[in-house]
Amino acid sequence: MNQFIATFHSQYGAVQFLKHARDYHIDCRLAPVPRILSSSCGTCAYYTYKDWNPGFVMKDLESIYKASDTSYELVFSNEDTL
Amino acid sequence: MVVSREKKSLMVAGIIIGIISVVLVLLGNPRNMGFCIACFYRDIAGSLSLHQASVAQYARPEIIGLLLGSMLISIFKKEFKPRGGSSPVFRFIISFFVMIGALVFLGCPFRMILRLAGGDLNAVVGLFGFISGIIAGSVLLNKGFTLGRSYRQSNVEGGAIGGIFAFLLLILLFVPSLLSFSTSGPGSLHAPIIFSLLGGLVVGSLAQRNRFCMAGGIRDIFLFRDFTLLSGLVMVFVAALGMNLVTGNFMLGFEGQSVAHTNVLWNFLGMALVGYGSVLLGGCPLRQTILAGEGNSDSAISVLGMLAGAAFAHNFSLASSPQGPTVGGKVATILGFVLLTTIALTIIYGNKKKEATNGN
Repeated sequence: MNQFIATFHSQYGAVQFLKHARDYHIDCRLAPVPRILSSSCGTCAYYTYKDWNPGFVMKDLESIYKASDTSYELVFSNEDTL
Repeated sequence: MVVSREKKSLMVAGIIIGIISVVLVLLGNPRNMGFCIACFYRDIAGSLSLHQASVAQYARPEIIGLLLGSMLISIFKKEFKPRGGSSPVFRFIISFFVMIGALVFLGCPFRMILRLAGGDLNAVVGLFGFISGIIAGSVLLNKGFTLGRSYRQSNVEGGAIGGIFAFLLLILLFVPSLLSFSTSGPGSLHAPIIFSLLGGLVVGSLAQRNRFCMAGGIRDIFLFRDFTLLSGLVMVFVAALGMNLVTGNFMLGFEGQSVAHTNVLWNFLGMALVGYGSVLLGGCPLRQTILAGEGNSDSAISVLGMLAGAAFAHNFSLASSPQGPTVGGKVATILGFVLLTTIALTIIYGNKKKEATNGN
C-alpha cells in the first residue's frame, strides 16, 4: 500500500472524492493542500491504495502525488493547457 | 512540540505583517487601520469618484502594493498561473455582498484582527459573526456547493488586473489631479505614499508565500481540525497587540473606537455575511487580492465586485458610520444572505440532480 495525495480544481471535487473513497472502502481524509505542492489554499485528499488510480471517476481532479516521508512525486497530472 | 516548517514560516510572516500594520498607523493611517482591504477598496472607489462620500477618497497604495507584491513574487517563484472561468458573475455578486457586509461592520477580517489587537471589543462581536458565517459556508461546501473549476488562461488575461493597478499607481504619482482626495475623515489619514506602497508590497509577498487567508484559517479548523493557517493570523494579532501596547495605541472597550460602531447585532451580521461569502468565494478579501496578483482572473473579478460593492455602499447609504448601521445597510445585509443562500442552494440542487442522473 502507498500513500497518495490528490489535488483538485474545486472543493467539490475533493468532497466527491472522499464520498467515492468511502464507498470503495479506501482509507481517505481531506486536508489543506501542502504549501510545497500548490499556492492554492484548497483541499486535497490523502488516501492509501496499491496504486494511484482508485478505480472511480474523479471529478475536477488536478494532480496526484505519491507521498513519502521526505518528498512528493507527481504520478498523474490533469493540468489543462492553452 | 514540533512545529512544521510551513507553520513556522506563517508565524514569522504573521509577526512581520502585524508589525507593519501598526507602523502604518504610526505613520498616519487611521487607528487600527494599518490595513483594511474593504476600507481601502472603498477609498479607492471614492478616489475614482465611483462614490461621493467625501471622507472616504484616497487611492490607497497599500492595495496596489498588495496586488503587485503578490504578482511580482509569484512571477519570480514561477507560481504566476493565469486561471479563470469559474462562475465570474456569481463571484462578482458574492464579493459585492462581502463588501457590503464589511462596510456594515466597518472593516474586513484583516482589520477585524487589527481592531481586536487595538482593544476594540466590537471586533469580538464581529469575530463571532465571522466564525458563524464561515461555519454556515463550510456546511454548504460539504453539501456540494461549488462555483465550478477554473481553466488555464493567457498571461495577458492573468496580468490585466496588475496592469490596471500599476496604472492607478502612475496616476496617483504623476497625475493626482485626476483623482479625488478626502480632506477630512478616515480617507484623509494616511501614511506617506512610499511607506504605504512598500508596506503593501512586503505584506503582499508574504501573504502570497504563506497563503494568508483570514477565512481559510477558521474554515480549516472547522473542516479538517487543521490549525496551520490560523497560526499566522494569531501571530498578526499578537504582534499588533504588542506594538499597540508599546506605542500607546491600545484602548480597551466598546465606546469611542476609531472608525467603528457599537451595534452588536449588525457588527455580528455584517461580519457573518463576510465570512459566509468568503468561504463561498474560497478566500477573504485579502486572499482575493493576493490571488488576483497570482493571475487568478476569478479573483480579479472579485476585486472588481468589491469595488462596485463599495461604490454602491456609499451611493445608497448602505455603509455604517460611527453612529451605527443604516436602514439601507440592514436591508442589503439581509438581501445578501438571501441571495447568496439562493445561489448556493440552486448550485447544490443542480449538482445533486446531475449526480442522480449520472448515477455517481
